[in-house]
Amino acid sequence: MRHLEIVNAKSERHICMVKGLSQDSTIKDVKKAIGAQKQKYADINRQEIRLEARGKFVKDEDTLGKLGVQNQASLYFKDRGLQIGWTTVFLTEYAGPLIVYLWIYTRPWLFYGDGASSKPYASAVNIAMGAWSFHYLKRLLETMFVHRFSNATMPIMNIFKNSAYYWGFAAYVAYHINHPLYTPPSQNQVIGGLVAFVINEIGNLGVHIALRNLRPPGTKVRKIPLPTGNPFTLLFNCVSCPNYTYEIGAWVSFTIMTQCLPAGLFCLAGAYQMTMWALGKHRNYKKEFPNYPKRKAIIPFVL
Amino acid sequence: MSPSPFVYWAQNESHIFLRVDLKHVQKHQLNIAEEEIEFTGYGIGAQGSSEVEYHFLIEFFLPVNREESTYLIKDREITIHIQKKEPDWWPRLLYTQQKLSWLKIDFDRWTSREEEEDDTETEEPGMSTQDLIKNRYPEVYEKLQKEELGFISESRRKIYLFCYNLFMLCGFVYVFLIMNLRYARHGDEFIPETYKSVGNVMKMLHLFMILEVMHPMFGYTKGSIYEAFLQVFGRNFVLFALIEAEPRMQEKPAVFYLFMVYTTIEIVRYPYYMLRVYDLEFGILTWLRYTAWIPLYPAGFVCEGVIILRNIPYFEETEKFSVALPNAWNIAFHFPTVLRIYLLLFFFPMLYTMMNHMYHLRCKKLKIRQHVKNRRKKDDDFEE
Repeated sequence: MRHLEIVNAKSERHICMVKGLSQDSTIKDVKKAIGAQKQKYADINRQEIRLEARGKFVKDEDTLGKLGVQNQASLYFKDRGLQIGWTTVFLTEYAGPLIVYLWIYTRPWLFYGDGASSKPYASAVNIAMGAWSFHYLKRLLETMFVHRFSNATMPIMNIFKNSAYYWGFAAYVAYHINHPLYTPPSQNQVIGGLVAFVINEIGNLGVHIALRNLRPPGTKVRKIPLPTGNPFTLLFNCVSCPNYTYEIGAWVSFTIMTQCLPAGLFCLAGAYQMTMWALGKHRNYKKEFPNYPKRKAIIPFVL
Repeated sequence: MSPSPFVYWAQNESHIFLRVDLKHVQKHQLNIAEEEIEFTGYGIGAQGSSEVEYHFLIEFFLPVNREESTYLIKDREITIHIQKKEPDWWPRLLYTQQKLSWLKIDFDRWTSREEEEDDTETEEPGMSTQDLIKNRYPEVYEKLQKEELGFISESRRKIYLFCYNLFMLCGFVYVFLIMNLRYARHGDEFIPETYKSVGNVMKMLHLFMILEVMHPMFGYTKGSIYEAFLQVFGRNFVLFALIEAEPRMQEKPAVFYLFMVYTTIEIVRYPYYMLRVYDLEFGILTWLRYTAWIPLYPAGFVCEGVIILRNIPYFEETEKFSVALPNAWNIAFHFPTVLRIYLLLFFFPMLYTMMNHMYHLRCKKLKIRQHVKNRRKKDDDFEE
């Protein structure tokens, strides 16, 4: 194997030549070689290699021999654009709601006018603050210590889109709950909602930990998720993505606890997005594992 | 590394057929797995005259059912029947894009079905071709039936769409005529009376327009449900929430100008659609449909912007559509603020997005080559 030509998939223009590879070289080696020659693509996450101009991308781990790439062949190249790490995106997305909500909670006069802090908050408001903060603190810690990501990066525009969503909704919900004219529901409803919220949060954490243990560190192995010792993971018997199920449950509980329509709208938006993801994941599981157990995607017995 | 024998392959929707060109096969090992098939064995191949060890490995494009797949070692060849996991035509046999010199298409197998049909006709002379197909090849029969029925409902679909577009065209022509005739007759005095004279017809037409969201949703037309929804929602919002809801707005000149813009756009759009239903196009009409937006979109946006702007103080006064705290659901909605946010943050970006979209559509439809800077990935995909 002497050299390969790297060609732009869209314009078919020559980009560079890559030399000194063998049948056992991986696509990752090819990408590193391209990055060494073209400064712009030094971040190999930005590179997408294809065997055909309009084809699917090839994985970093595959070798040239496995893919049948001959000497002096052309490989097609696509620039995925500026990339940003998943961890970076997640930390930014989740820090925002924490900061925004607490800012409104601790400085109401900035948002409602000077008389806003004259009366003390109802207990429901304090509980809501606690629940909201707990949720996002948990997410930040999970991002740092629990989750194992399949892909290293995503396109940079995602951080702006996602942050706008999370930060925007945080402001929208926080504005209504911490408002001087907020009316809490009955004490029973608040306590009931809180208990349900906590149960769902524990369930969600349990599933995240189970998913983490499914994959050995540093690998991209994929296995069928099944219940573990933790009783909360029994939901795996009914759905492919119980983490999303618990998350929707948590936000429904939060809405009941606060009886706040904006929180309900936030719950709806999140539920819609998570359902789309769950359906996709469920489809992928079924395609990948021929003996995949009979389950629904996100809502037991329903969807 | 052992050489590979010639392998000929064919497929139908549910199966893959392999024919290995190897005679007097001995000491063979043939393993069919879900993702691949591997063979090792001794035999006399196409080239040889003596027994040699052969080997091949084929990785399938998509998974197959191991259990339902069979093979038969014959004297002059090995025939292998493999059942696909998902019945669907494959663009190629292999998982990768490799070209293997020993793997060839089996033309004999592809055409042998016709031969089979001929045989059965002599066997059962009493049956009609239709019953024959029904009994022997039920999937083919079903497919043909669907196509035939599809043709009938195809023409009904076209008639419906043609009538819908014609009806809407008549409605907008009516409004256009009334407005122009009365304006010609009474001049500026007519302008405050616009809504009173054509408002009801416009409301009816725009309610009917909701069907244009259903059409792509139920497959009557191609196109984006999302875009249709935005267009129809936007129009109805302006008409019902901004004009109908505030009587003081109805007599303002902006309404007259807005209605002129709307009717002009529709008088070009609906005839164009009427022709497209039957895959026809008149050059001049296509040109108009994809050019009229250039002055009309900005004009329409500005009229709408003026209506929104002038409505803000009215909605502050009437508090219509607004919800104040405290209330049981703890929601506050201040309509005038939403209108302000739209004007400040969304007005210009939306105008830009819509005009950009129409610009690219125009270049595509009128086959105009764009400057390199203006081209997008989507355009390149189309410019074959």
